[in-house]
Amino acid sequence: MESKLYTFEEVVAFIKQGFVLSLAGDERVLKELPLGNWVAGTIPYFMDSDVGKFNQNLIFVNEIKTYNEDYRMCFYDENTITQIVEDSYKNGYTLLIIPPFQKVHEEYSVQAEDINGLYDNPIVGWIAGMDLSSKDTPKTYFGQTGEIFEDKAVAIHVKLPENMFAQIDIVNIFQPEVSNDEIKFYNNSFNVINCMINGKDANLAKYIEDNKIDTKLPLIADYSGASINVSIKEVNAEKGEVSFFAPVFQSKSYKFPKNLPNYIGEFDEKTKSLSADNEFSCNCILNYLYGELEGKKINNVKGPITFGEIGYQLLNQTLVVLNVEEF
Amino acid sequence: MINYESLNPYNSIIKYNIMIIPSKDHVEWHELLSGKLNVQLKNFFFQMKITQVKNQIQKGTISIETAIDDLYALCTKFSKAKNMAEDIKSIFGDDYLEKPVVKIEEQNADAPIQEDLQAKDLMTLFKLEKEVEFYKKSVDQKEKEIQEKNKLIITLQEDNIYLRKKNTALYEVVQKIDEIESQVEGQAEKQAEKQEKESWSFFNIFKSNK
Repeated sequence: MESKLYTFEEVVAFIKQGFVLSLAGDERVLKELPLGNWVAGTIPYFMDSDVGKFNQNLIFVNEIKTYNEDYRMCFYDENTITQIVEDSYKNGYTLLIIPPFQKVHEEYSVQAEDINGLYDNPIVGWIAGMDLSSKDTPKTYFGQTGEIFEDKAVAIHVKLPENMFAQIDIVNIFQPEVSNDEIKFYNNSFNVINCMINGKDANLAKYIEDNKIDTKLPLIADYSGASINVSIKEVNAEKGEVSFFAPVFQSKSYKFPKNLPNYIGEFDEKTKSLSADNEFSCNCILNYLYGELEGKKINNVKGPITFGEIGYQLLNQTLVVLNVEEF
Repeated sequence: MINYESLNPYNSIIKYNIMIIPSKDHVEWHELLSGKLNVQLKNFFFQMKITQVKNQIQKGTISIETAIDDLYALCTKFSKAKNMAEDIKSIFGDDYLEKPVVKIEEQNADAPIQEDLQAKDLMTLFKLEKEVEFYKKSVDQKEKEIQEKNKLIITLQEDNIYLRKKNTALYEVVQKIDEIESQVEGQAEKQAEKQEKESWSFFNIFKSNK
């Protein structure tokens, strides 16, 4: 089954046929779906097979291929989310959808790095969202029981045959600018007032304002060669506080990237080698907005547009892809 | 490499190389995790995992040895992942190990196939190779053991023959002694009889003289 937007009726038919599905859509259509082997998260923004779209009637479908092996569906709150690794199979992967700005979101994003076995199998997924102009609240859905959550993450653990393995790839259009200031933080947190800039105590909000830093640019940390973004949610000059879409970590050094004069061009360039037949992929709402992807086709980029991406841990402004390969 | 024949006669065989992860005793593992060796990696799993274990080592929640065990196992598991070969090469140098592999590709899906083995063929081949390696080592070991045992048996047999010979010789000596003893005994008896006869005759002479 091709990963793309389908009508409500088509999705109902897939569920009734017993397909294992990961779904993304507006809450008004998701809540009407019958019980079945599916999990879902709310979002009305998509990169469909043709172009980027805002749609509240269609549902984006990712069929979860089970390869004649087992799978299990689970949901987690802030107390159980770190058990996600124990619930996975010896060889396989986990698809995870988390509601944003809840304790489970904070717990997973802050604690993920300390979870033993986090990298034993790929954990891929996304943070649910909503129409940015609405007062809707992001939700997750557990199709086997019909439960709807605002504070729980839902997951599908997929077992793979011995001769197969899953791997995650990311596309990040940003690179840290080596000559830029080094920023370090005192705590692991989503909200920051003070930090250290080039070894000296400073207020981050003031630093951003004084240096006229474009807040479309994320802070970037180097993870042994991987550039991991933390996107700015808000700069509150009055409070002198900066809030982020993912936590900054005390153990990491961050830098701002250089400005991107051609956001969409950079995105197009970096996604040229992306395969169309991946198992799952998702892209960030900030890439969608800043890159003005609505109505545009970018190579083989497809999937829900999300409020955060999961590639083992929480990522921002990043395209995440899961592929399943044979040995 | 063993000769492996697919059960599907219509399959074609493709040969390629896979990477073998350098063993845990390579000093580069230690250098990588202790920060002595700084490499910009390309595989996403590898980048994230290295960052995590380095952090855990710094916090003191894991030892370097445990981290190497863990990392080695996962690198082996994901050895065929994108860019992994390149990363291993950048850490361990150009002479990282490659192993030839034979892949079976099904050519004619409609052909009479004994079993659907296309996906299984490669794994079966891996398993067979490992089994053959294991049994070869095992057979070599057994052969050595058998040789040692044979030597021991020969020694024991030689000892046995020697002892039997000794035993036979001893038996013969004992027989001889018995024979001599019985001869000596016979002679002694005859001597005694003779003496008795002589003493009796002397007594009779003495009596008649009276």
